[in-house]
Amino acid sequence: MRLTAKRRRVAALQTRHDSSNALHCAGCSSHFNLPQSNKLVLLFVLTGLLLLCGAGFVTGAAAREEVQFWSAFSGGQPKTAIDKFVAEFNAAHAELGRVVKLDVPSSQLEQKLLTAVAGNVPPDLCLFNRPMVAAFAFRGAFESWDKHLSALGLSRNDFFESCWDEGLWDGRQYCIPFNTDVRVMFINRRLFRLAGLDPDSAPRTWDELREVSRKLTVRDAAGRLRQTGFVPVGGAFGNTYLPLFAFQMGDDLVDPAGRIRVNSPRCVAATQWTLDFARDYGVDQLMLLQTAGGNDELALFLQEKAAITGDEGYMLSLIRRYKPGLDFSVAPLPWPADGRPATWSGGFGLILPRGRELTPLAVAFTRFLCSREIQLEYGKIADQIPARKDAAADSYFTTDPNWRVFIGQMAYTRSLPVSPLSMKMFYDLIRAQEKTLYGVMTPKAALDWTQDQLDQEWTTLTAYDNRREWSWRGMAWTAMAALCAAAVWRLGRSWRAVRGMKLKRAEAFWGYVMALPAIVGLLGLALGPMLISLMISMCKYDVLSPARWLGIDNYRKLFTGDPLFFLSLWNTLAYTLMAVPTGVIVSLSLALLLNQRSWLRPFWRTVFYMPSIFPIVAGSFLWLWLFNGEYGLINMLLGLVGLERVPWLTSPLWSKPALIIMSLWGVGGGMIIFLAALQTVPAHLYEAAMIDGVNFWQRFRHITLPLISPVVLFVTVIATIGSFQVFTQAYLMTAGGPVDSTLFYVLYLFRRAFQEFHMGYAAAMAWTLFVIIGALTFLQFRLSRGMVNYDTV
Amino acid sequence: MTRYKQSCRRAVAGAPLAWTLAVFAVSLPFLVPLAWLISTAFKPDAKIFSFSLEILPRPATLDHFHRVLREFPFFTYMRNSVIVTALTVIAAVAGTCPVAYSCACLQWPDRRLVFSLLMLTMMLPAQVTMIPVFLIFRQLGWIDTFLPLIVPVFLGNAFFIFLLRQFFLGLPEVLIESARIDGASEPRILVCIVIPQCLPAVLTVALFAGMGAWNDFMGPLIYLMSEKNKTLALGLQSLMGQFSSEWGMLMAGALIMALPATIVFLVAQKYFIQGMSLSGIKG
Repeated sequence: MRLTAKRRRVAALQTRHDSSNALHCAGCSSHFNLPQSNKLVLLFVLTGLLLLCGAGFVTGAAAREEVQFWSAFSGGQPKTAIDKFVAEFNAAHAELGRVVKLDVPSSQLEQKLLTAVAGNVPPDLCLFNRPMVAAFAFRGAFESWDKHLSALGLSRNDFFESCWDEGLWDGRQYCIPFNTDVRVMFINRRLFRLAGLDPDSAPRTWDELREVSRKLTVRDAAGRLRQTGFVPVGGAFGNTYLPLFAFQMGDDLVDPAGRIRVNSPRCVAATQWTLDFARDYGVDQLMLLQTAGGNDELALFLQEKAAITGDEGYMLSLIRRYKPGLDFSVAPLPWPADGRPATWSGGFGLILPRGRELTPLAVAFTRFLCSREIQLEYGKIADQIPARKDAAADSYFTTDPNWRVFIGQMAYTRSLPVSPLSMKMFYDLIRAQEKTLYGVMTPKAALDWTQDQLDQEWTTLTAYDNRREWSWRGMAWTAMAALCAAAVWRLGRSWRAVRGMKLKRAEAFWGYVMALPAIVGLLGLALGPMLISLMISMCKYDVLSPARWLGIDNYRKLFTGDPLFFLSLWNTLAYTLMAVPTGVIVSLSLALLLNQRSWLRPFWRTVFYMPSIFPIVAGSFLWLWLFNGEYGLINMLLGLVGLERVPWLTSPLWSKPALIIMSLWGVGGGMIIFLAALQTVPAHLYEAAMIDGVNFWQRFRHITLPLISPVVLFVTVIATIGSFQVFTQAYLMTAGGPVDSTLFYVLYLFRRAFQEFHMGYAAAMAWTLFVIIGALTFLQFRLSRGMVNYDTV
Repeated sequence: MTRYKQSCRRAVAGAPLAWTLAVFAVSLPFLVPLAWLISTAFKPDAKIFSFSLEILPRPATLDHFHRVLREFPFFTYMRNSVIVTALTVIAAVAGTCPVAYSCACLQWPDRRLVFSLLMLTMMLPAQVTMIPVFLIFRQLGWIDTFLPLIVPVFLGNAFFIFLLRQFFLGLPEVLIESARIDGASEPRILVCIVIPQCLPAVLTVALFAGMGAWNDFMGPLIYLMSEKNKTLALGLQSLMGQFSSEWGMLMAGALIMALPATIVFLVAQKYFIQGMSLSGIKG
């Protein structure tokens, strides 16, 4: 209690301190008593324990008899069905254990599953997207079903062959098919009749389809597209049909050697056809119309804005739910006169992630899900064709005229080629189609470009297998150990110096002890990882298999063979060059505007600052809605003043400006900093200037700006660094599109690292980014020399 | 300072109304999006998909909120977000206060080195360390736990340390020195004198940390796998994946997520503004 004796003196000191340092002591209490302080000490000690407890509570291990089952159906009727099946199964097998289901949205499934397998926390079973199976099996992320098939009593004969074979990679069965999503044509009979067409004679060939679509097209007085027939394009427009059209042209997307081939003449012809078809409507008119719903043509059909669409059985659920009175019918998709009848299907299936033993309960659950009864019930609930043939042969499907068309099409259906590249091919084809639509490339050039990308990816996946395996882990430990040794040596040396001191020894001791978290963090989370990152960037590493030493190959490929790297760099640079200056100007202007003595100022300051603390995910939703081409507020306001609507997020020209406008909404942070800086400008300078009759601009230019120039530099540098790391908006709002116009550097890096698991390549990208940001920052400081005034007045 | 205030008062005394009107006009682009968000969340679907500009929805509906809460485990997400945020706040305060104190008020040989390295990490893009840190946490078996989101904050967030240090530097040295002469140990000085003296600063850091954790997207995206561990930001993303054209529902979800953050901000805005101001002045 010796401290109490000094209380008065300290309090006295503090009064002086209060007056001199108003900023720091706003709200400081001028008393502190010991019992409360002891509580604080206790609180501090408890904090660590609490953190550990909290973590323990969260990590709590699962019980042994549980089967962890991930389902990709996280909404709608399919989820309802799976929920029901899991509940039924658990009720019937209560004595054996329990199936625990987790819903992972299919958009996240690939990334989450790969991370889970790599992180050794995989589920026991997973309902997975079939076209992705080969890519995962290739990397060794899945176990094969082969040795369990007899126990399950399942074989190829039980399923549609196309579904079963999608899970076959390298001679082993990795996936047991669950459902299929064969595409057929839906037509709106009411719109057909309105256009004077007979809804019972649906178009059968490509030429007829285009002809009918022309008749179904409706434009308003201003020439705006109000209604379409069939819309053959995907990408920013929705689903892509390109593989389907290629199948119909008689192409299987593979060459005789079994490698993926997307630039065959027939593929080019199919692409050309979609392009010509889209031009019938006008590409920018399509863009505006298509954003109206949720960026997909599906919503257009439901809104009766598209009279024809190609889709799967799930459309029946959607119609029942959103447009119960819709007068529609179903027909096979038309094919070209010189082609063949074909349609396209994928679907989901059960896979076994690596690193888990198949328990009897998991076997029982798999058998249950693949039984005829459950398959049939799933088809009924979810409006999808089951993968099991005898379930699809049930009278439920064979008597209904709509379902008969679906089942009939199963004879013609094809799936994406089974290859580690099939999903990449699918996404790359969407990009290729976008490129042709926006006139960036001809169909031939776009497909050649895609083929080149796919070939390169194949090389990356296979060509380095002869390279030396390289245990980066050993090196990493060595590096970390070396780092720690260096730190210990350095600290030890200083410690000897400290021991020599008499007076300040305790202080120095506590200095080290209290800085310990930061020192550990510096070594373990900054410097160490930087070294590891550098090492990984010299490797091919996908987390699942051992790293292979590449030397500087990743960097070489980055700078010589990766157009997307340069594109993403350019996108980021363009975004930064536009967003940072406008951001600084807007925030400084706001600060100047608010730099007035008024009782309302705190209120306005809050108003302008509020958007910048708005959660970015919620903000992305909001702006996606504001930028909506059809019902978005911004376009409605533009329409009000008689301006043309702008296809904000669906046009490669407008997507960056749109994101910049969104970034301006969050300039409040910069404004606060400027506002604080403006208040340090001494008033007597302004007074002197006013006496000299200086106008506002001169005052700003010659007094304000020089005095706050260090802050301007600071804000610019911070904004540049932040803007170079732009990610979330692009990830959520545009996914990098359209035509890769918002594929920013970090988004591309993330995609490389956590979606394609090219960790080494991504690490090389990260280091390159580090160097670029460092250089830019240096440049900014260098260029601002002579412009920034560090003298204080 | 006072002279400046007076001169300001004189300068605007003539035109407070004009000024207020001007600021109001400028504030519209900042406010209208928020108003539109709230408006859409309460509008029936028929109104959302019509070309009407009305801000006050008539009739207003709670349907979208009902559906969001029914179709999504929103309370699980909310609980996770609250846990992560609370633990992050504790970790930030417990981790950065001693470091900032050590860097601001204690003399030790490597202080400059450690502090400047810390400041350098502020420049380091998170992506450089993202992959190795992921691998390290994986090695520790921390994937799909909250630890990767919390521990890094405890082990020294450079910005928070910088902010606190700025405040601590402002304390009069005699204050600490006299406590030291009285025989108080350094932790005790920190806990009994420095923190109570700089409580607003500590609050500022706590608020920034909490806000960051609540809004964080990249961290949960990388480290959290299962539905039972997802935070609100991540859960909201899956909402978008499935109901891409149901704007009323999406806006309702966004509103639910933004509301707690906004309320905390409005209640404690003084500290946010103080923290922001300081990061620039002495930077």
